[in-house]
Amino acid sequence: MNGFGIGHLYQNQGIEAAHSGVSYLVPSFQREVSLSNPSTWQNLKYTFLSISYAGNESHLNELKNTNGYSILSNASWILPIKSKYSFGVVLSPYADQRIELVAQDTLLFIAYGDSLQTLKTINRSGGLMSFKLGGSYKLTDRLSLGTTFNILFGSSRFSESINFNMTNSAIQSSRVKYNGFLNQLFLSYKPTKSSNFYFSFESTIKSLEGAFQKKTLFEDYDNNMYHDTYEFPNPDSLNLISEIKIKNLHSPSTYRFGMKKTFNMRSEFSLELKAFTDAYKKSGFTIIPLNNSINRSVSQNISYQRFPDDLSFNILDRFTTRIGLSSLKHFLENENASVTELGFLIGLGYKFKPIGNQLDLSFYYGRRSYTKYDDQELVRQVQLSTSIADLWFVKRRQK
Amino acid sequence: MKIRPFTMKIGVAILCAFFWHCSEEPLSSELNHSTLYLDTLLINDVEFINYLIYPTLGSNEKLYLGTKDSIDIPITFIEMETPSYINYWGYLEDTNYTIDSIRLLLFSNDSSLEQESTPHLYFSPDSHFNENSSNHLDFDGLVLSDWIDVGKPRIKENILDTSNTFLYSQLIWSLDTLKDALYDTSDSNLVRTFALQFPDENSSFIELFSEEAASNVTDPQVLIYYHFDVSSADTTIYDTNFVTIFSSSDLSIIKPKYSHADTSKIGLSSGLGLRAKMNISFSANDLLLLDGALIKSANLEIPIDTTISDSGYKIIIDPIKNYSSEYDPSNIFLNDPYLSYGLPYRVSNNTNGQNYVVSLKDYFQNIVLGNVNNIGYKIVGDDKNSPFLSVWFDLNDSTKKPQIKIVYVSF
Repeated sequence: MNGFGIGHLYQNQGIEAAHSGVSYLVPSFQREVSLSNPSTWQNLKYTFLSISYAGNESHLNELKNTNGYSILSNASWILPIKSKYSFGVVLSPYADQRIELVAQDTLLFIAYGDSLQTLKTINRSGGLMSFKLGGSYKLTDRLSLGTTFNILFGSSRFSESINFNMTNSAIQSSRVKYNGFLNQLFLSYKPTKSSNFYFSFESTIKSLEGAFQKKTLFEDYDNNMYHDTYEFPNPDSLNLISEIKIKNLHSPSTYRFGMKKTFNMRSEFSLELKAFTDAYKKSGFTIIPLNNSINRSVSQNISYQRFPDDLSFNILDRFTTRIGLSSLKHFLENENASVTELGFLIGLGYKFKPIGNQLDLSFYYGRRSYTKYDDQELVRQVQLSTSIADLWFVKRRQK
Repeated sequence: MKIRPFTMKIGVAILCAFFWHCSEEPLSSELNHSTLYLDTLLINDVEFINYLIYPTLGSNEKLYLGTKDSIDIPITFIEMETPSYINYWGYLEDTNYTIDSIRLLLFSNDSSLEQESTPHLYFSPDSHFNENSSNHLDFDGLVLSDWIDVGKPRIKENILDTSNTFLYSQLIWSLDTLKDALYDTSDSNLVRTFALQFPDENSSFIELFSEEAASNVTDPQVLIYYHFDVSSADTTIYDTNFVTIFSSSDLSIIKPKYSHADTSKIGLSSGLGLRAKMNISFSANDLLLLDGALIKSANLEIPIDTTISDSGYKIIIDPIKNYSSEYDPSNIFLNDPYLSYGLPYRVSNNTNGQNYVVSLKDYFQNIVLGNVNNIGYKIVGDDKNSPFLSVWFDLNDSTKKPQIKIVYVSF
């Protein structure tokens, strides 16, 4: 997935945070609160600082190839104001671009009687981060609105190389610095005491733009991918190549719809649907590692949540239980190909202290299939989050 | 907010998560869409012209004297240094030292030298020459009658090493009579120049080691043998010793017998001052192909006419930066008219059988990068080649033309 388009969007990487489960709009952090849905933020009783950390691993069955990494997957600070308004900031990864591709075959190149064994590789590193500023307003007891302004930023380094006789390589590298601006509107509606409906629409205010700088080809004698001073041509002999602005690298529109039904005050069933389109434009300057991009995605998920009983002294009643199933399908631009993913989530949360500090742990397991590649990718993700509640901006009485 | 033990535990749990096993393995994939490619380019449009300069052999490892192969070497100069740390010449006037003898030594790799075929040594305290630029025009009409004639040397033949291998022969001149002239405090312009010349213009020819041959081993050198007495109440110590003073520069003046450059053949000879200029023309399409490319290799191949060339001749190719004067085949240039870049673009190699092959990769890459211009290339024989050797390019055989074989990577 990292090799498509601008990389693997984190919204498609299992779950976004341990406290959110498979849901995005439907509350799963607390009974009426989803930390990813600002239209529910005013339902928090205290200001929350929540940090989530994830370990991701994917394994390709046929190739016996395993890649894994850990990352700070979400950091949110949310301030409810008089149970009517809220304000929050969220920092999270947006896209992971790390990938290294090696050509399937070594090619023999014969030049003036000398033969060279050549092997091509493509390497991309870096990614995009998202910084969200959001807030909500409770219009009525049944209806509330929320919004986020999402600043995308980051950079990536890209290199194509030809290795000669498994010794030195010729490397063409480039760097892109990204910036973009998205907006998302949220709506929560509670027609009855036991049912809720949620809706969100994400649009692009300023499509993702890249400041692209291509570096001069160089010969990497020690294969460290870095243009050292002793390598050819001498870095001091190179002229600075100016940056080129590339527009419309990513221009998403996302519709989300969610609903939940509450049973026995503590248990909830929910359903969520998502439709995503990306109106990006192909750039002649950048190369996409797998030469394909996701231009449309749909997903569905169902989940069950059981929340703690705040009035119970039984320790078992302090736990939040989350179980979810998700299905995603991504449509690729070229070759009529697609990627489907079926995933399962199980998560536990532990609520402690009267103010509702919370510790969440989730495990996601998914199976990803590519129509173009005759292989299956197994996805495993562990998320751990801690959410600390406190009163902010309230003068305390001196002891 | 206080940090409680439970919060600490949470922190420890998060820290543990940092130790999640990370692995990055490359994926095998079709990379047909990769824009990077490897290709070759052959450039045949290579032209040469010959030109002549007055030769200088300042950095040759030999000193020559006499006539050989149409080259006349009438005189050879040696200038002795004035040591900067301790001026040993001062021993000649120091009353604490008793000078026993002064000798000038030159070395030859000829094991059968005869005294009759050796030159005379002359001394002048104030004659100048420039090792790098003096040529025979500077010394036309030079008469050594004003110089002090030291005479012929004594020869010490067949000096062997510990394994009885011949090292060199020594030519030894006594400078005892020059003691006062070698350290004349009244002469503010004392340079201690020696000259070697055959007293009559016969056909003798001799080769000696110059100071470039081996540092402080076979350099021309002056040895001052001395002793001094240290006396106390009941003891007198009698100590003998010697100091060595090496040459600071040396030069054989070459006078080739030519009148103009032979443009029918392209050749090189440092003794004749024969050099060549090479022009390489890139077509517009060549330049388009190489735009932004990485030159993987760029080998210039020039066929050699083995019937008239000496083998193993070292040739230097130096890209031209600028012209100081226009090319004129009837002219013999006092200084090389083509100003070249030198290192790092200057490249060299020995001729190898029927070809001369050298890499122009670095310079071509900088042409592609726009750092230098493709004005032309100066081709000269290395100064360390014997001045009596020459190499000639074979440009008439249509089956093997001079060419540049380029392998490049582009996108």
